[in-house]
Amino acid sequence: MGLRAYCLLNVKNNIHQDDLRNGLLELETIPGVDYVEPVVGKYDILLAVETAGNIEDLVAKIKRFSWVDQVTMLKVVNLFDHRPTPSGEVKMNKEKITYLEPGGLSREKLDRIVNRLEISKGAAIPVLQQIQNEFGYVPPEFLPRVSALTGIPASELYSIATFYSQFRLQPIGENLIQICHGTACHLAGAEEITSVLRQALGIKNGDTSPDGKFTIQKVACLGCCSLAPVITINGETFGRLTPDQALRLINKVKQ
Amino acid sequence: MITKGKGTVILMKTATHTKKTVKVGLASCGIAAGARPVYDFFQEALKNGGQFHLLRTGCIGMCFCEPLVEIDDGHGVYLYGGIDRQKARALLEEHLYNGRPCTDWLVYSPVLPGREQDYLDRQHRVLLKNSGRIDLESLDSYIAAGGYRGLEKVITSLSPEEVIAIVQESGLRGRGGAGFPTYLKWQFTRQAPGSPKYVVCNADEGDPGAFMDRSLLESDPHSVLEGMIIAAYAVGSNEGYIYIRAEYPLAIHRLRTAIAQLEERNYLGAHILGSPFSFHIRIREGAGAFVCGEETALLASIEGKRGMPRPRPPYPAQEGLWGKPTVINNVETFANVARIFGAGPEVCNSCGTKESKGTKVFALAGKVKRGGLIEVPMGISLREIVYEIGGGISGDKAFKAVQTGGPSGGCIPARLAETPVDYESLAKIGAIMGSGGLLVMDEETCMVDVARFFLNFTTEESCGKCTFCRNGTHQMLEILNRICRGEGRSGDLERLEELGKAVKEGSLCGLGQTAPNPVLTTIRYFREEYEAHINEKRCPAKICKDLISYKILAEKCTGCGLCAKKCPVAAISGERGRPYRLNEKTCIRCGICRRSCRFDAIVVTSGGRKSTGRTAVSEVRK
Repeated sequence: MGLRAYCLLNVKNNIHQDDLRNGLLELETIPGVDYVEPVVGKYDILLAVETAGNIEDLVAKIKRFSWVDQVTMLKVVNLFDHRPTPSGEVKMNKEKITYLEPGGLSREKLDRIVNRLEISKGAAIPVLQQIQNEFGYVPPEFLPRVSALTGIPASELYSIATFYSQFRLQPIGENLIQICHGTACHLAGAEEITSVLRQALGIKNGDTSPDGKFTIQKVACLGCCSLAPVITINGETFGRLTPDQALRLINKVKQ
Repeated sequence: MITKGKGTVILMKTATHTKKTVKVGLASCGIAAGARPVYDFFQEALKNGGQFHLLRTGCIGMCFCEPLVEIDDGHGVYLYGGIDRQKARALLEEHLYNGRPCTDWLVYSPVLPGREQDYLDRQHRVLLKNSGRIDLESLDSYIAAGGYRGLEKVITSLSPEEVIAIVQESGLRGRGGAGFPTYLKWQFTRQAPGSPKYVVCNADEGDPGAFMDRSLLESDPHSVLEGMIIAAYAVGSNEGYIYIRAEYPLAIHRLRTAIAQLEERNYLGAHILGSPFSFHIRIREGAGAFVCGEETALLASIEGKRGMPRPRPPYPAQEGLWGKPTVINNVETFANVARIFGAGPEVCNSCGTKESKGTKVFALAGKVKRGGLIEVPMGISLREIVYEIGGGISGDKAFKAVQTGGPSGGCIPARLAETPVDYESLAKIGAIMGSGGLLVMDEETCMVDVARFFLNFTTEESCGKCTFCRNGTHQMLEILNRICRGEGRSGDLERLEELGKAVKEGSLCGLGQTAPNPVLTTIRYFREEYEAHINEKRCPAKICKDLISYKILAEKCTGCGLCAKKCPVAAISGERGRPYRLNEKTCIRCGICRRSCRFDAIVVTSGGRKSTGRTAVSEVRK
């Protein structure tokens, strides 16, 4: 075995749950496929492959499935020295394979962040926290790379990133509004503030406004119960708000 | 600050009295209320040749009148509340330079009676004695207030066994909520085979509505650290962790500063104070999981795993962090330890009840006039807390209930307000002491909504390991959601009780075992409110959105149009000068209109099936 690579798959939108399950099983039977994992976020399936031969052939096999929409190559690692091969060395057909270029996210930056930390036992959470601090979220496509750098299995990183509410797997808007939903804030009208702000920012599904300017996050107690209801806008705390005042604050940020 | 007699508070004298002192409270709540510009103002004044000391202090606990400024003019100490930049200027000129205290904003002073004098006088401040008094980022300030003398005594003259014996004598019980005797935990860890041993401080204050630990860590981090170092000495540990919520950035920053100071002065690190004893402390930031307040889940999280609890035994004292014996105590417990060794075990066992010794810090919040951080002797009644310290219900509405212990606790109705606050009495009436959240509710609080709120929280935070906790709470929440939507059925209450009992019995850790408490206690004490929701489709407190509607009273409406202008969904329309109309279908029931109306012309009604647009429509369809 010489090369290890990670692929991210997007499946077609109209696929049925059962077909997808069968599809995952079929993927696993392809020789060279190490493991298959459904993921959440920009991609649907994470695939680790190990092959001595040509990666291109393997990808072609995967692409043959009717329900596969797109294949994204994440990275290729030479198993002997555990360092990523410069992309030039592995020849690939650019039409078939899209290289990962997450919007402006730099892998060098990721390496710097991870290498800066002292990787001791129990480092998984601090590593992910640092990544989120720098990128604003934990890009799921980075996890295999983090795994290679730290030795923590990608599955474990992923299980941690989805367990703790602090970690976001999707980018957030330019401005982050945290609405405290502690008990005191609930009694003082946090729900009203939430519904008014969502209305005003046009957020219908999810947490981010369609223009990408605002993300509303519901948080557990911020510990300022005597000032309830409390919200923070980009880290600054505002207390004793009425829905009306909250609206005014947002309008100020908008300008 | 020492307590003199019963409840009288003497403010700590500042070291030098040649100069006047100004202290600005800069804990999170102070900053949120606008203390920074006030501090900046005094700093500018200092630069321009002001003749006074300026100190940054933590939270004195009077959160209801933040930002707070304390002035010591050499003759007396004056605490001012609700200070902004403008008032700060007046304080500077009038009080500091002209020597005339500004009585209008005075909230507390041993010299002159302040507006909120009884708020502090009624308390018994042992743990909070430094909070809001000492300069929060100065080790010298803590030492000047008597800090680290206890640690010095421990290291130089006491054996670990003697330390544990003193903790036993003090009667200290864990302040995280369960009330396990602290000395036993230490003894078990000391005696357990295996090394290294660990000391862990649980600062994962996840209960919504509780902020005792945040405030203590922000205002007096050294107390907690001193307690931890003493614990490490007693159990024979060289390594400690503080597991703290990432939502408390200021507390984390202040802990880091304090640890660096201690390492520099050899109170922490290798060969502490020249003794053979070494101890290191690391900080681990939580990542937002309520279940990590449970000790085995917390340890798993420090180990870098998903924070899921495991069965006990083995207890952490035998097999804790990385399988090694571990002492895990709450922030407040460690702060108590520092006091016990600083001032003697009698600070803890001289007050309180027979079973519950000492004082307890509570975060008093909700519909109370004076919310904040309070410290009271155990055994005080809930009524005393709400009325004598809290000043009664805000807006002079009727007192309905007190909620203790957050999502694990229960709602205690006003008629049981004489219940003494101690571990056993609270457990008897179905509530728990908890970590110290104390939420006051008035007549405008819907108890069904409160139960739903807490259950929604625990359902989201359940780690998913135990079926009963994962699915049982979910089913209970579904029923409560239905009731709040006006779709309750007869038999729902019995089903809730049955499920609640099953969840309690079928769960591994404290989260599941206590999750049904808010529901069960509200059914027990406020059954009629549930019945109004189910049978009459009415929310007596007028909170549940599907059961209420907003109405404009035509006879009171002057047609000013303010409500229509403010409505975020344009549900109000009309012609200026004539009564306006409200479209119930578009209304999102946010209440902005009602708050903005100057003529009380907008009312909320609840009652009768046809009161809400949505229910009415579904009735027609039937």
